[in-house]
Amino acid sequence: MGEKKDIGKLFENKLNKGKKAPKNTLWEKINTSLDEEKHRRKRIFYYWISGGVILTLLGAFLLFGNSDFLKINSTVTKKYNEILENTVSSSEKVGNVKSTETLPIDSLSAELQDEKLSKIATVEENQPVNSLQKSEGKESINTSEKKVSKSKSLDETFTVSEKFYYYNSRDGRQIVTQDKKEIDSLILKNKNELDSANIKKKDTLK
Amino acid sequence: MKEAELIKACIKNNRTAQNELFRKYKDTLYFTSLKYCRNETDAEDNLHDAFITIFQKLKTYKSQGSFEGWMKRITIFKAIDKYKTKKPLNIEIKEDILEDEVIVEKEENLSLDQLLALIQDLPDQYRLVFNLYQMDGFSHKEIASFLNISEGTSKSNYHRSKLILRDKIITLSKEINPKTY
Repeated sequence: MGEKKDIGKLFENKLNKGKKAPKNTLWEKINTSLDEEKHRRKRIFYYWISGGVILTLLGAFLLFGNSDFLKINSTVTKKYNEILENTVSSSEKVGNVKSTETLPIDSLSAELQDEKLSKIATVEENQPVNSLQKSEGKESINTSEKKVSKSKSLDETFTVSEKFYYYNSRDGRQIVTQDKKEIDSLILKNKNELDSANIKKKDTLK
Repeated sequence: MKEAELIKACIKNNRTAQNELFRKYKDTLYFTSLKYCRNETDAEDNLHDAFITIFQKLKTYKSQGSFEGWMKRITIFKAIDKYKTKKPLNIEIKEDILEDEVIVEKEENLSLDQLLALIQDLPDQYRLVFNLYQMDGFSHKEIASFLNISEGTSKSNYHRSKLILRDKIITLSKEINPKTY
């Protein structure tokens, strides 16, 4: 009979320091896997980088894009208010002769929308060029000429426009035009009508 | 190249150094894989995965303890990960039986391959427990935590694996030398 041995010890003694060579192709497999792993890591790295860039751009847009938008908005509102104030004050000056009361709203808003006028910073002078009142015909004509001084750092491309307002209190007719002759002809026409009417009255009285 | 230099070069992804490290330890680690795996194919796959992990985690090696031991541990845990997910064998037997030695009276001169084949034929969990406890000196407590089983299950798995091995050795011995039985 042989020597009695614990089965565990038997395996331990025989197998503990064993060695065996794997197949030669194993290194090739490991080599390929290492290359793939390298590429995978590179890909992940680029994903992270591109993700970071996108997030940064998004963050920048949210932070600065919005504030720029607000800035533009506030500037536009400011300019709009300035124009509104300037226009109102200029029409008040002109309107010593009921100008603000008689100016039609449509013409005011049309003036506000005018891009050229939006560049006006100050209105140096507002003078009524021709103010004619007739007691009998109750006609009033308000014309204004706006002169802007170039010295106040204004845009050099600025051009001055003239508008003439016509209002007939008898028939409530209103006209806003840049052609003064049109209004003059109307006044002349009305004047002639009035004269002829007066002559007729005198004739009938006689 | 010295071991420390070799490790440094491998960390820098020097493929020549990595090949040298592979050639230096492949036989030992392959044998460890063979003990823990079902067959040679599984053992090669396990060794492949182990080396990939070794190269990836080389930075974390702190030069404490033997480098070969560190690599062997990685190889063992790769095998555990491979077979742990399989349905566990939670068969427990009485504690007093576990203390009994399993003795083989007639040990014929079995070859290394024959002994390896016997171990590889064990059910997965038995094989893992037997190797971890008997070959690599882990305690049942440690084995229980590695395999997510109870300490009792680890002990019973170890005892049963020894019984299976004994029966197989007897059968094998009978085949080799029938006259003595």
